[in-house]
Amino acid sequence: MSRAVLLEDAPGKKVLLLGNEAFARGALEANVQVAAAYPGTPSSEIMETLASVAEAAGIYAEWSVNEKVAFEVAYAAAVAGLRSMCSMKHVGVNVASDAIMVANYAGVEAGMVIISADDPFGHSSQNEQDNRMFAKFSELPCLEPATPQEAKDSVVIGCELSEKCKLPVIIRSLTRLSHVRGDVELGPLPKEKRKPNLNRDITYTGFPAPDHHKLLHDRLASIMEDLEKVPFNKIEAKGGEKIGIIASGIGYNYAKEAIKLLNLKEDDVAVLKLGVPHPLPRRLVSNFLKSYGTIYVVEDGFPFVEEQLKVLCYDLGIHPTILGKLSGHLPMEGEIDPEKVTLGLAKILGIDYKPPEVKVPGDLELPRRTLSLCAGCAHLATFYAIKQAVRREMKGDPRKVSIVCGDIGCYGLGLFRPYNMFNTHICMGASIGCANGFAHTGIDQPIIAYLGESTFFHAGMPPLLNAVYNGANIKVIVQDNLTTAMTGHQPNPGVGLTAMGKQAPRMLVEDIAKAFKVPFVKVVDPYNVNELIETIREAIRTPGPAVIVARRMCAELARRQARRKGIQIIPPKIDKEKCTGCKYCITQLLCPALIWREDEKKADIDPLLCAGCGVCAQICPQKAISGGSGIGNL
Amino acid sequence: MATSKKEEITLAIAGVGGQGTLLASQIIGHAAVKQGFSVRISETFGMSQRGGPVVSHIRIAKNVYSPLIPLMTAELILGFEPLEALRAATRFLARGGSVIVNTRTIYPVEVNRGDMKYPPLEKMLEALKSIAGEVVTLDATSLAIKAGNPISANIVMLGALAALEKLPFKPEDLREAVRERVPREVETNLRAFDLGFQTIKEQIGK
Repeated sequence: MSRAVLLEDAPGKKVLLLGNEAFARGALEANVQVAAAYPGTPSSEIMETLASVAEAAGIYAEWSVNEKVAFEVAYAAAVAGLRSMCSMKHVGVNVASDAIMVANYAGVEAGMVIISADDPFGHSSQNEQDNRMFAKFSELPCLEPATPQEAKDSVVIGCELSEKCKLPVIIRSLTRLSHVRGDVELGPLPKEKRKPNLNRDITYTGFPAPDHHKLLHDRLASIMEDLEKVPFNKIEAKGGEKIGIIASGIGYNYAKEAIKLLNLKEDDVAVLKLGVPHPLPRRLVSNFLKSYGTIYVVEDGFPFVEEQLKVLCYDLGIHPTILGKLSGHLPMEGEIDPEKVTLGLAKILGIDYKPPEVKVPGDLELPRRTLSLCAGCAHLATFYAIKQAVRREMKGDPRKVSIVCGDIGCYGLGLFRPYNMFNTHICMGASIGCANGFAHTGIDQPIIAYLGESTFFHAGMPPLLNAVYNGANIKVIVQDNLTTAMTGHQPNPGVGLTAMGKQAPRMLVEDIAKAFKVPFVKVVDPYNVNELIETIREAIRTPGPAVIVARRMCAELARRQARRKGIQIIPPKIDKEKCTGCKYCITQLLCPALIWREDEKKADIDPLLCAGCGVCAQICPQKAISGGSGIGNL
Repeated sequence: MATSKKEEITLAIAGVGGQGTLLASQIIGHAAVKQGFSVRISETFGMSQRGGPVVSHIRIAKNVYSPLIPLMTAELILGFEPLEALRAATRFLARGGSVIVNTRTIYPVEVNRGDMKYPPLEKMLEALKSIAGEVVTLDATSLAIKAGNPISANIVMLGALAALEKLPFKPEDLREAVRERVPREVETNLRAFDLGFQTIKEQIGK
């Protein structure tokens, strides 16, 4: 998707947009003038796209240091009369929730939308939470678009609804919308920008709580009629069908597919496509519920609509059979797909349907292709250094004689085989937080927190301060790879660049640690493996909190930089005379460029994968690896 | 659908993170939208990309719904890597459909470490032939090097796709989409497209 397309004022033109690009285009069409976000899969491309055109569009866009700040930035803009948007992944809303739970009482003046990108199945996440629950919890309206077209339109409709009821509106996206491309018909771009217009007679607050709580209820009630008319709600029925399907958000796409897969006729099944899961458009839903004896609820995530329907039926005094997740017609865990939705529908209609059995032809055994850190990734060197430092200092298996608390980033892969790095892996910043706790349990072993610099800026600073304040003997290793790598290389305060490409003061983790009065602060290049090992050992021997900054650019970024600078990547050579086939390099460093030659029983280096970091040459016990150059020379 | 002219297609692109499958599916989608079709493409982003298998689900029709392809309903698998082509074909290929395989292998970490075995290429092609009506192969990486840049292997694969003429639009439309959506090294990429196209045309003898 090119920048030009995003800025094109060509109503009616159809273009291919990623769901997240469509949200960004929607922000432009809705006249959003302030947007803020923190990267997180599957939401990141919303801000990436918007920031790339923000200057040209005359709007402000930022990567905030975390989702709470992002929400507050957007909130204040909406209070000041400018339309605004914040976007984040589902678990990011947990971080922002402290502010959301009062901003709903305090209200807004201009339209504001919060895009939450949920991730059922946890493709790139640590849980499957359904943020429509946050809409209920915060009593805010929620839109659930089903297609990239609706994604774009939801920002415009969301801003209008928000402005009308003076409440932020939550838009629920998911992986299968944010990361789905589709044809999108563009709408018009606004001609005029607004000027800020802050009402100084009002203090935006939740106090006194009962009054503001009532204000929230009145505001929500004021748009109930509008929610009935949101165009994402649609009934496809003639009357007299055997059953009715109520499909929320992307559930509609699978419901339609199921009808096709079972060769049903259109008049066999009625469909209510629901685009407003909270609060339910009561009249629309009630009429549908009254028309069918059996209702199949198709939704991704929690049985959110299903439960509300049961409550509504009680109020209406009707008793249709409501089937869905709670009845076992759809699974409670994982994400729904065409087969699961079809299976549930077939069961209800008594149709014999089995999804095709997936079996590899010819009984071939296909090797797994598990995710791995990249060749030359500095996390690999630091993982190795941590294990070695603990092994040498504590004389035992690192898993048994130390505690390592992991965090969120590419290095989260350290949680899986073969890395097996972490005892805990919870959420942003929890590496240092949990390490604080382990330090006060009386376990007399090195307690290590491991995180990246973007995560440190996001949620690692308060627990570090806590460690100094409360005297936790923890060793914090911040791998500073000079970018927010996992979500696609966004800048952060440690990079010295903003989302809109402006220079910013560069924050150094070591400066912050020193300001926090951490007694042991050192910066090491992880490509100097022995120096890193010895620094970690020294930190372990020194009582009190310690911060080691292991600084090396993300190998993928470094590769691009090397290409630009004309630095050739020359893999090191393995001396086949000296290599004893001990596999130490392969099994200990775990670099994907190190490969095993079964025919000669020796290690080898994949020249296409190798980035020329030079770490393997430093760790080979036989000194059989030497030479080579590449990103290690940057 | 019993029409003489193709009006829809469901296909999957299978490969390994970093092979340029995202750009390839974007180009196909762009061409389809320009020809007035409705399109859904579901892709693998984020952490799951790190050296893992990636599959792009592509559906082009008058009206499309599910962004995920129902099992065994794809008419075509565009395989950027043999193992992943077979893995995806097993799940998604409508039996009797077509498979295009880039024969250049990328070993998984498990194989590189000697923990698992990579099946022989001939065995995998044999397995593919047992479920597909048509299997064509090419070394897209070599052809891309010939065109001027190994990174253009994804564009070679698009040329190969165009040559099978299973898309509901003309090969030239896809070629034009390459020109429009790949801003850099246009000539190299068009050469890459043409090499993929010719190689498969010669193979199927049309």
